[in-house]
Amino acid sequence: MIELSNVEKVYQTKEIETLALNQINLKIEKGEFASIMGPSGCGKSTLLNVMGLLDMPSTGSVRIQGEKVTNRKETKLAEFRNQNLGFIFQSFHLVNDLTVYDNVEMPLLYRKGISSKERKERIMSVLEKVGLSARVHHYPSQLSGGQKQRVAIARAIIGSPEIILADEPTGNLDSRMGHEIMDLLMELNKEGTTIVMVTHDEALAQKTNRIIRLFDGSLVN
Amino acid sequence: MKQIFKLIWNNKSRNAILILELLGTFLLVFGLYSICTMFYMNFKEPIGFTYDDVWMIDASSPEDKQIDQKILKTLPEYKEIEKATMMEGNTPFMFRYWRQIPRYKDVKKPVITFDAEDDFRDIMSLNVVEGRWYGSEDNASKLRPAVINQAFQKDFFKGENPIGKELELTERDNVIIVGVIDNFKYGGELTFTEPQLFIRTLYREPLDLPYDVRQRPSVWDNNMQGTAGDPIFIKLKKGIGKEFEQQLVTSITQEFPGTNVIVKSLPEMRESNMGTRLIPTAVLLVIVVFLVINIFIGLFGVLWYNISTRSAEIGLRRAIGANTLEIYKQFITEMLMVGLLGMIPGLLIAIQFPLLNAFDLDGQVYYVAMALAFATVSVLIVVCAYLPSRQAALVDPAIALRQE
Ligand SMILES: Nc1ncnc2c1ncn2[C@@H]1O[C@H](COP(=O)(O)OP(=O)(O)OP(=O)(O)O)[C@@H](O)[C@H]1O
Ligand SMILES: [Mg+2]
Repeated sequence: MIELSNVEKVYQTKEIETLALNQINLKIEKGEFASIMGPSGCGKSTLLNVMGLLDMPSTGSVRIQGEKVTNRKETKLAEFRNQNLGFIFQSFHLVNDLTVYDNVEMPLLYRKGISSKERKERIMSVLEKVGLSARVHHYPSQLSGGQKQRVAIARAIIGSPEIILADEPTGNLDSRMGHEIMDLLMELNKEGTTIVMVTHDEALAQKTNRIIRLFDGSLVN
Repeated sequence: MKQIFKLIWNNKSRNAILILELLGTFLLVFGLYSICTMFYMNFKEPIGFTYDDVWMIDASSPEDKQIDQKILKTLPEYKEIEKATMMEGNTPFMFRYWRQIPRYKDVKKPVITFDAEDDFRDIMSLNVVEGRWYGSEDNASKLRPAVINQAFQKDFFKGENPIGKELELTERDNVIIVGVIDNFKYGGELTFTEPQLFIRTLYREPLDLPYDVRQRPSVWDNNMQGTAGDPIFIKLKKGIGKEFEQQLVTSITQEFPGTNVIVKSLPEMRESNMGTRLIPTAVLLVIVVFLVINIFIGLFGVLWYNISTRSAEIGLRRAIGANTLEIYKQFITEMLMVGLLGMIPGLLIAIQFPLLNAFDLDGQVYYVAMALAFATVSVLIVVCAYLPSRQAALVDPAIALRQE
C-alpha cells in the first residue's frame, strides 16, 4: 500500500544540516495498523509527512497503491491527498471559526461533483460514527479535547480514504480519552482502512499490528 | 463560498475595522468621482461661445462713475476693434451669479440674467437656434425684447414654442421672447448649463423707446459709489496681437486721466478661472490619495497579520486536498467579501444622492461615480490581498502543521 525506498530527508538550515530520515526502506501493507515509535526528534513526524505527501524526500521514492508519487505536480498531489489520505494531528487543527459541521465538511469542498444533499448525509453519518451527532453546531471551543479529536477523525474519514495517517492522535488527551480514540481507530482499521500512527504510548502501540521503531532517523529492528 | 462567509462573519470584530475603513474609503472615492464626473459631463457640453479674439476692459475712476460708459463711446474710433459692448452682473470667466426670477404661467424660478446689448451676440459669437437675436428692429416693440437659452426653453416652455411669449420679470415689467440660443457657459467649460435670460439693454445712446432699456442696474450704480465700473468687452479685428493691449491702456488713460484701466484677454481669464475651480478638487484629490495610501497600508498589514495567524488552517487545508491556487482563491474571495460588506452600506448611502436629488446634479453623475468607486475599491482590495494571499499559498503544510 505504501512503499518507501531509500528515503532520506535532509533539513538544511543556515547553521546546521539535519538528517531527519536516513535510508528508510519500509512497506505498509493494505489493511495494516502500524505504529511508529521513537524518542522525540528522531524523525517520526517527518516520516509521516513524507508518507502523507506533505513533504518530499530529499532522495528516494514513495509509492502509494503501486503508483510512484514523488515526482508528481503539486496540484496532483493535493488531489491525491484529498482522495486517498486522511490526516489526524496531535493538536487537532480544527478551524475555530467554523462549527463541527463545517469543519467536517472541509475535505469535500475540495472535491468536485458531490451534491449538497449527499454531503449533508455523509457529514451526519461520520459524525454519528464518532458519536458527535449531538454536537453538530458547536464550535471547537465548546468541545473537550477528546471530542475535538473525534471531529478531526470525522473530518479524516469523510472522504473515505484508504489510508489514515495519525501523528500522536492521543498526545493531548488523558488516558481514558486516549483509549476511546484508539478504539475508534481500531474500528476503522477493522473496516479496512490502513492506518499509520505515531505514538509515545507503548500500551497503545502494543494494540497495533506492527511497531516501527525509529532512532535518529533510521529504522531499528 | 458559504464557508468563507461564515469565516468572515465569525470574525466580525477583527473584520469590523476593516469594513469601516473600506466604507469610508468608498464614500470618499465616491465623492471625488462625483465631482470629477460632474466636471467631465459639464466639460463635454459645448461652451457655446467664442472668446479667442475677445478682451475685457475694466476701468474705474474715483470721481466718475460714468467712466465705463464714456470709454465705451470712444471705442469705435480704434481701427483694431471690431465691436464693443458693456455688461453688467454676469460676465464671462468671473465668479458672478446674478439671477432674476421670471414667471411664465405656473413656472417661476431663478435664472441667470444678462443685461446685454445688441452687439453682444456678435462679440461672443452666440449661436441662435430659433427666432433671432434682438436689435434695432425691436425699437418699436412695446415690451423689452429678450432671448433665452435652450435650458430655459426646456424648463419654462416644455414643448411650447417660446417665440413671442411674454415673461413676467417684476410686477410692472414684462419682456417678450424673440429668440433662443443654444447656450452661453460664461463661467467656463466646467460649469453647468443653466437656464439663461438675455434682456435688451443699451448702455450708450438714450433712445426714445416705449420701454426702459436700463432699469435694473440703477440698484448697482447707487450702491457701488461709482468706484468700480462695469466691464467692457471688445472683439478685435483679425490679426490684432498682444501689443495692442498696452496701446489701448495708454490711450484710454491719456484721454481720461486718473482712470485705472485693466485689459485682459478672455483666454487668459478662462485659464485662471479654470485653475480656481479646480483647486478644491485638487485638494480633495490629494486628501483622497493620502487616505487611500493609508488604507492600502492598513489593509495590507491586517491581511498579512490575518494570514500569518492562520498558517495552521492553511496547512490543514493543504493537507486535506487544497492546492495552492485554491488557497489563493480563498483569501482573495474572503477579502472581496469583506470589501463588499464595506461597500454595500456605502452604495446604500451613495444611492441617496441621486434619489434625494442632492446638489441638483444629474443623477447620472452619481451612478457613474458609484460604479467607478466600486471598481476602484475592488481593485484596491485585490491589489492589497494579492501579496498576503500569495504568501498564504506558499505556506509549507509540513511546517505549518508542526507548530502549535
Ligand atoms: N522544517 C524543518 N527544518 C529544519 N529542521 C527540521 C524541520 N522539521 C523537522 N526538523 C528536524 O528534523 C528532526 C526530526 O523532526 P520530527 O519532527 O520528525 O521529530 P519527531 O520524531 O516527530 O519528534 P516529536 O516526537 O517531538 O514530535 C528534528 O531534529 C527536527 O529538529
Ligand atoms: Mg512529531
